Amino acid sequence: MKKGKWAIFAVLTFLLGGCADNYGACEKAALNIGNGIAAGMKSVDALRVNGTITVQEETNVLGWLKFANDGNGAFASCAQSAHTAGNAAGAYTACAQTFQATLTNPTELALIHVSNPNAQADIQAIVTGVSTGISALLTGLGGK
Amino acid sequence: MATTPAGPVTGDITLALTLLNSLLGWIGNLRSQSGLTDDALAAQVQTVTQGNDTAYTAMMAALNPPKS
Repeated sequence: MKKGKWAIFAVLTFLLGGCADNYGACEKAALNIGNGIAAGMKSVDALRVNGTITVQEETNVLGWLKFANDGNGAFASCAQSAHTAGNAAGAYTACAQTFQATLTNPTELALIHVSNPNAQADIQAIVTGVSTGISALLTGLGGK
Repeated sequence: MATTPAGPVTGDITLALTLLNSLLGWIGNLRSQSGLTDDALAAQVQTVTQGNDTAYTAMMAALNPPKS
């Protein structure tokens, strides 16, 4: 078990060190995040349909997901511009950092609170998923 | 509007975990996983984000129907 953990760590270290295609990595991350947001929208709608959250709560959470989706679109455009401009040093990281900072906007984060604790945990997991994706991307970019 | 509060939505946690795995999965595979060129990926991102905007608009319309 311990050996297995080290093996995973070694593989991850190798892969993170080998992220040469930063534009492709950014676009792939943006695609995954976009698909995750789409899945999150459906999931939140299901929570409202079965009565776990209210219409107002769904409206609020969808508002955050829309906000995150807009940020994701802006991030993808930013990466595209960095690519077109010749992959300047730090450009992709700047795009991802801006996206990450956008997601921590307290006014927007206030939208994700719902009264049902089970639903709150589910919604939090979706929000954390988006944030984790960006953090993973920033690690992979290594400042490039 | 549904009225009876239920427990956790079946499969919702699974969905969240799938999302996390999906987001992290690209680290190991980067774009080679999809076999698409970078620009084709960028075009897909545009399609997905626009699709999400459409889904959002449709859901908002369903949630807040115009009052007659």
